[in-house]
Amino acid sequence: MKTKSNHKGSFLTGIIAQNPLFVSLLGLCPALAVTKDIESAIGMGILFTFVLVCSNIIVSLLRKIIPDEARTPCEIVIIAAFVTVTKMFCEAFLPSLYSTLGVFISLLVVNCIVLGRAEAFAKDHGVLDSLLDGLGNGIGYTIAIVVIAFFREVLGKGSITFGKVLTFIPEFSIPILKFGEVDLSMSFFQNPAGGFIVLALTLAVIAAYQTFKAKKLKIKKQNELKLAKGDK
Amino acid sequence: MNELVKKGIKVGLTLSLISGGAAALIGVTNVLTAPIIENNASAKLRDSLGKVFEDIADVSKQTYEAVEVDAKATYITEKYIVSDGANEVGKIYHVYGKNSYGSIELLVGIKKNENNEAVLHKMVELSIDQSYKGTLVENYFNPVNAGTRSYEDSKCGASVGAGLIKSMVAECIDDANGVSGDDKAKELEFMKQVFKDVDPETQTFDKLSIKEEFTYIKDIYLVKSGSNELGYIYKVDGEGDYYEEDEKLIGHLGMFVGISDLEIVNSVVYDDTFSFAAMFEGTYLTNVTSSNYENVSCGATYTATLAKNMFKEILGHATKTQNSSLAKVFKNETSSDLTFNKVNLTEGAANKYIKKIYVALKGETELGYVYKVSGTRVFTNEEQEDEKGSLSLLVGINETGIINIIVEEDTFSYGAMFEEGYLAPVASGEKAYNDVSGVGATETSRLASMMIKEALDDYNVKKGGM
Repeated sequence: MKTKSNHKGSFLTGIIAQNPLFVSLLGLCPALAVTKDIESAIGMGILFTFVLVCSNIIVSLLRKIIPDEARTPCEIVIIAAFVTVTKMFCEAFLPSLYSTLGVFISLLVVNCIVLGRAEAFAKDHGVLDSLLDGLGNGIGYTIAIVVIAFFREVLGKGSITFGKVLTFIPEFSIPILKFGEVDLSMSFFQNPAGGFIVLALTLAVIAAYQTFKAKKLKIKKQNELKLAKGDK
Repeated sequence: MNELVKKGIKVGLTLSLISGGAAALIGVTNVLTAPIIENNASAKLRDSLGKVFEDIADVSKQTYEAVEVDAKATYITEKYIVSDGANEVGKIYHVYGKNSYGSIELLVGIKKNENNEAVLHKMVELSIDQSYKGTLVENYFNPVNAGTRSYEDSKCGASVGAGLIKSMVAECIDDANGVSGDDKAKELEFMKQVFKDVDPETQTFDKLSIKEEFTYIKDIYLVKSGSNELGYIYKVDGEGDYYEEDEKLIGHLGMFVGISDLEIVNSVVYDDTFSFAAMFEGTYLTNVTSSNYENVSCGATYTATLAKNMFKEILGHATKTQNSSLAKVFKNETSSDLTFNKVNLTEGAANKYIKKIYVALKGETELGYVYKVSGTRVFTNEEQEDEKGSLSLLVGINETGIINIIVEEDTFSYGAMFEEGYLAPVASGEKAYNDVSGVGATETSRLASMMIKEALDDYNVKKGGM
């Protein structure tokens, strides 16, 4: 199938309009598991983006060679290879991130976004578009989990800490809900239930914004229609 | 070649090529990263090993010699002899264990004390993956490392995790003392024979810390079957003279003696080098009780003489321990002034929580009854999970009502809340025992109120419906 290239669209769709987490509600499991703190979320986002971009490129490159009957097994082998490579590099160069993310790095193999983008986009598009699609979706997912992690870390720990997981950053902490002896944080938000609530509230805000935007557009169209009728 | 075969070959070739490419990529990455990962692991291990004895030996001079681990060890996975360049500083054990709440991986440092006995120096956490990690670290791990708590005292609000660490440390100490896994297995077999009427598979042996100097007592174990306390096992060991054809020889006797409510339950001999061993076991040990141990006569006189001294030491310790534990109920009295006599459980009563009853006497004067009560109840823990907690109390009662309440065991969370919000006001009479409002530790308080009610009802029955 030949499709028209739209580099900007390929890149931006995954970030905003079709954000894998906030719009498509994909990848919820790691989104709850690795969002206790911003650093883990950033780390997961980077690894996820790397795997997604690499697998999209290879699937796109081989799209004319891979027969339809072997497409899914081939895509899984490609994704598994990149996840394994990512895991090895992470263990070697970012051991703190590796031990923090634990099994969730390996579980990228079965991440529905990675396989989904390979199947829904890369197999039908050129290398550059596939790269941009992977990058867009990766960035979109990273932004989404970082937003959740921000609220969970602030509400659950009362401060944001850097340098503990991503050890190449000097360690520092920004207190937000801690004022001297007073600590307003609620450890509940560090629990999975707290993660669900933060995710639900974020989705509710996004849904409210989209409804507001749709209504505004509808009113604008109605006004335009009225004006057009008035002109007649 | 038909289309189907061609397609099959194409699919096979494509899969092979892609798999080959993936394998090559992983292989190259492995070659690049394996040495770095290995270096990271050894640097991490060395870093952690250095922390164990950093307070008594210069870390830069420390060397670690890996030695073979006892194949029968349950928790020990690695063992290192630490040297400061000139002398041995101690031993470090890499231990790993699991329980129903997760896993624990530690480095345990063992050194020799002034009596040349192996003792715990320090533990270093490699990973504590437990549901109650916070409580475990705060109430047990840190105080043990700081030397303010004995590793053997596992009652801390996270007793299951603490019990696992305790077992790990005990294994390391045994190993450092030269006790092998085989020796421990044999010892366990002997201990299971002591309370012979109880299914050995249900029995657990909790080693207690010994703070006094004894002539014969080597170890003391609290024996339980499920949540039921069966009694104590004393491991005793000693030597004595005996004569064989006018030749003076030295005999050795080792026994496991079971004690329940100050009564000798059973004695199992694990070593006897005296003459007439069969006579000693058949005549003396089978007839011995707490009241006649000094008077049983048998043909093995020399062995029996040593055994009498052993029983005297055991019963002296057991009485002292029981009295000091029960005397806590009477806070205004001196422990040595009191005696406690066991009272039979009321016949026909449910005795759901009452395990033992004692009458406390000061001379001829009866001070009251002490009820040993225990029970379990499901509560929601700090992790918002349902869990079964157990509570064991000593409830002192006299004609005026509750004298005092002492906590012997509390595996519920919120122990401080329970003691301050419920027990203290109930014991002082400021709060009714059945008022569990505003405590915070609601389930513990509910269980305690039911236990206290049973004890009060029983006291009233015993005293003729007061």
